Amino acid sequence: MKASHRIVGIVGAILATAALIVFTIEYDWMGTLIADDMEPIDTVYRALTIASIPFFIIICAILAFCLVEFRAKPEDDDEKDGAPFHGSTKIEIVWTIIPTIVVMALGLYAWTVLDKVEAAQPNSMTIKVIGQQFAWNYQYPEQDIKTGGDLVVPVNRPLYFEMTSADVIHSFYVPSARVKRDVADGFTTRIRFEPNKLGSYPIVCTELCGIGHATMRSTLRVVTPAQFTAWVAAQKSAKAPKPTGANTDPQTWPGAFKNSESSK
Amino acid sequence: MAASLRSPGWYRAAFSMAIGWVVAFVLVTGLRLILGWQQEISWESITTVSLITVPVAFLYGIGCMDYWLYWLSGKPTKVDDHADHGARKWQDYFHFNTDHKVIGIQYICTTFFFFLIGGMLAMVFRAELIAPGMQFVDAQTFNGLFSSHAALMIFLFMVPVFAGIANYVLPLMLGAPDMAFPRLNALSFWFLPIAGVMMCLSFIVPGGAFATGWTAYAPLSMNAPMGQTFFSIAAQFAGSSSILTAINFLVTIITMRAPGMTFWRMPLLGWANFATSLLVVLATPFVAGSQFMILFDRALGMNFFDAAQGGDSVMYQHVFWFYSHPAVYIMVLPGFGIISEVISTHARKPVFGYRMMAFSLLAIIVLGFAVWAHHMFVAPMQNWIRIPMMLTTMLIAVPTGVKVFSWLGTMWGGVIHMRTPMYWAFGFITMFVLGGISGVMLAVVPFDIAVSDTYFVVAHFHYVLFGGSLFTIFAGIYHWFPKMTGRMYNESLGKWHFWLTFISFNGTFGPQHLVGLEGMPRRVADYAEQFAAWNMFISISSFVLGASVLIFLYNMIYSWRSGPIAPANPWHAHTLEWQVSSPPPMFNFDEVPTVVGHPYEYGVPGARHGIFKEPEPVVATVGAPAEETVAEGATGADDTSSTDGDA
Amino acid sequence: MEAHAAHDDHGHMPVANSSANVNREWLGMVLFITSELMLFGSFFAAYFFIRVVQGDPWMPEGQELPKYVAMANSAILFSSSATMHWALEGIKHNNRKALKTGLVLTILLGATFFGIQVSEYVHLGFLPKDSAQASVFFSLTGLHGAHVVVGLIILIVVANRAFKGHYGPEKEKHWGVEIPGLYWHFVDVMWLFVFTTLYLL
Repeated sequence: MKASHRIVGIVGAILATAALIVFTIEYDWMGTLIADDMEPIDTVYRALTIASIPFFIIICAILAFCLVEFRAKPEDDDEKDGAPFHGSTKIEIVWTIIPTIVVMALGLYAWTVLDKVEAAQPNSMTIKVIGQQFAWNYQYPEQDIKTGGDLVVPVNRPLYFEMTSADVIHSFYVPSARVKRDVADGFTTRIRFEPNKLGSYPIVCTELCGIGHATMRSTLRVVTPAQFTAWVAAQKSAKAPKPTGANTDPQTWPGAFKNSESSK
Repeated sequence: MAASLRSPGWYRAAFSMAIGWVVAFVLVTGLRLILGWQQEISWESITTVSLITVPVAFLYGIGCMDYWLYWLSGKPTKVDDHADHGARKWQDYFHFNTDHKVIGIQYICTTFFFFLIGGMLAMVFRAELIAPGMQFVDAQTFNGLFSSHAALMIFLFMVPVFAGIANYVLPLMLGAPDMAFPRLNALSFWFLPIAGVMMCLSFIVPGGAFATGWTAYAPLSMNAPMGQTFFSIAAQFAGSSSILTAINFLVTIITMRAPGMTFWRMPLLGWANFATSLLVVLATPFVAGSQFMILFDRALGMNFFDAAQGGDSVMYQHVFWFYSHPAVYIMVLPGFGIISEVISTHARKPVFGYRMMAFSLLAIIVLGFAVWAHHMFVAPMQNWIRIPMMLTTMLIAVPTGVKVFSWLGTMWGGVIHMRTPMYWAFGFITMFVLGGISGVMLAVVPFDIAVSDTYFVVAHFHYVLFGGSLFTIFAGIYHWFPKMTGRMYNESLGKWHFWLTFISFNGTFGPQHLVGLEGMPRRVADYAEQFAAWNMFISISSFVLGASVLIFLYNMIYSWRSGPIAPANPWHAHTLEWQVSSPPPMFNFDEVPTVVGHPYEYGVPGARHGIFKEPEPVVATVGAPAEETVAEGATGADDTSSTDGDA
Repeated sequence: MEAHAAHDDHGHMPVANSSANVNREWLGMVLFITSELMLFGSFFAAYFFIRVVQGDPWMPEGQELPKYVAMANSAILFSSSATMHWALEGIKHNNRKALKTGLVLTILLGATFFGIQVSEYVHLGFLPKDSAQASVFFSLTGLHGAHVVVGLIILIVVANRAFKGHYGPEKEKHWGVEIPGLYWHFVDVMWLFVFTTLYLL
């Protein structure tokens, strides 16, 4: 291989790395983010991707180099062997230690992020989430309302969800807030985030829960505090909301509600 | 007819299966009559019991138990005359056979049969997913389709196909005339078609196929229709098969290596199967346990998972993943072994850092037991478990990285012959690195919380299992095809197969990262409009991917029938299996070879791996008299392997 | 199968090298027992999660376990390990009488244990479905009971052979007693764990 080819290869690999890193930073990977305090999760994703790009490019570059440089020539005898080279302890130590340091550093960084995004906030509004086949039900203890419709929340108020299931395991997922947690009968699971953008966003179930799993969706509606107050009033003045299937079907799911309150 | 009913074979199998069903019927109905239950005939209970009695009857009928029944009768043990060794015509592959080479082929063909079924199921649900809304199948069928796709691919393809390849190759590589327990080996094979057929049959029972994913999470699976029972029992058969095979491999590797072949002179495929088998023996009982609990819940009304009764549904996930995470390594470590063989052979270079390659395998299995809860970061699990599990999971990247770098080091400075197996090895390294990178990302808890149970995860494990494991399987099949069949495959078809698969594979699973990041959940029959364009693209790519398998099949079948005759050692490799004819003689070796050096000494002047001479007294560590006693002891004590089979 | 003509036209099987100083069947049995241990382990995991992680009472109100009956029963099972050992030592010293007596005693003790276990099931007064704890209790003891039955079947076959005059003091001639014995000892040791965790703790 000519020296000029090598230079082209090395420059190409560096350019590819740079281009991929720029693309990783610029591209909108995960869609709208409505919770500013979840921003570190998107940063974690970008950091992980950026840390991985050089590894991948180096491996591809070495493979390409081997393919060009060490490929058997047509005139080579089938029995022609490569260099009798068995390894190098020095190199092996290097490529054991460097990845160890990289992954441990990323791990510790992720740990701090996890603590940050899960830290409890003052003045949180608690909402109870009850998953059932195949719908989401919400209870607002503070406002004393229950609904099986949209999850309506005021903007810029920290939310704290206490979640359980009336039957099988579901998973409460708000893609635009990057949060997700399974809900299961007998357990109370908790998540939090603070929505900062007005609008409607999907809520989906991500744990296979039966025939209606795909359609077990709901909508998160982030509204202004005034709209929220109005919505609460409207809910209260309306007739007592129809009780949800979760607590009216004791024959199918005995004791579901009783257990859901106690965390284990 | 009477004679054919007495001798092992399909007639006796069919007859005894009928008897097995009658036994189940009488047992269940009789018990219900005695207990005075209102409804004497319960077809569901009868089906559940017959899922155990009929397969056992089949195993008897096909001949798996003849010798053990003979032993149970208390007659004197007899020296095995190996009369049932070898296959002379293609029908022999459909009968009970104790030859590891025949069993190897049986394994590979059976597993590829279920691979095709699993692939076709994927084609059907990809067709369903080509657009939002419901196209061809209803939601229940859809759930059944992806559940059985996963179950077949994992339990009937990925895990056993490696056992099949190793079954054929490993005894040859080690210089052993057969596996340690040939009859047990045959029994392990015959468990497989039972498990596979049972999973497929679940489509025709009322309520449809098991539809709770291959994970069968409680409590969803407790109240699922009867197809779930088919899955649970089939998983038991597949699991038993892999445990018994693993015991067989371990004993073979430990006690039957050729004289002079120390552990540090063993080919890396041997090391890989040694590590894998250890994992299987230690981990697979846990999946058996989890499915026993589901079965007991469903059939005996036990309450392991019902919170109202004090049960714990998250316990199922712990028990299940304690197996099923190591299962990921069970599905990829033998592939690492294959890739080491392929790269070293076709690059004509010694394996770079041989000892580190072996140690990294052991490191992976040790760490592999300490990471299971990374599947449960969003489950109702104690929060503190997440951080240690995240760190151990990320650490697994280190030994895995060592292997990848060592493969690159093996190629560096070699004479690389770009034959088809080498194409797959290159494809494997790149795709597996991508799968590994997304694996490290998923190990990171805050990111995993955002994308777990989305298509990002689907993309990740297909990069690992398809781009990783399946590529190594293809590499291995092409690499050893001349040895197994005695004929050469068609190189240009092999390369077409590779390029078509490689491109359509990336077209299918690459975009799944993107839709996953945007929040498309997995296992859904219907999805939001925003994912429509990519899903159309994914589905079309997946059909091309499906079509690429046809090239492989054509190549295999055509070349097996009328490919050019293969020489004994077409790749000029050093390991022992290439030193005998293609295909190998009935008993592998006329005399067991003596190993005098490392297996990958390419380019070392005068280096030999094995020599076919009478063992020199200096080299033979144990010595001839010991061999004789063990050989006799083996015939006398062979009986005890029946305890393994019965238990 | 193209039976008994193998020797004529297909050469003979070379004797495999013995690369480790262990008996293959013994090693196979040890590995099999290891995987059995893990199977029990999965049910102990269920026990651990329900009793420790969930913190449920053991056992629930009204589902008491007969501790003292089980204790007596354990003594019976453990003594069967001793008789099994006696039988093996017997054949090692060519004492056929000890072999036969030991095996018969082991079988009788094992069968007694199993009988008492079954009668305990009948007299417990609760069913597997009555609570998660009961499910764990029945599945662990049931799993163990199934192993006792398998062990008994194997021992009966071994005893049958012993009475027919098989086995001998030479090392390779008493593997057929030693390996089933190993399994039986495993069944006994397993009971120690099952009994301690379920009844005593």
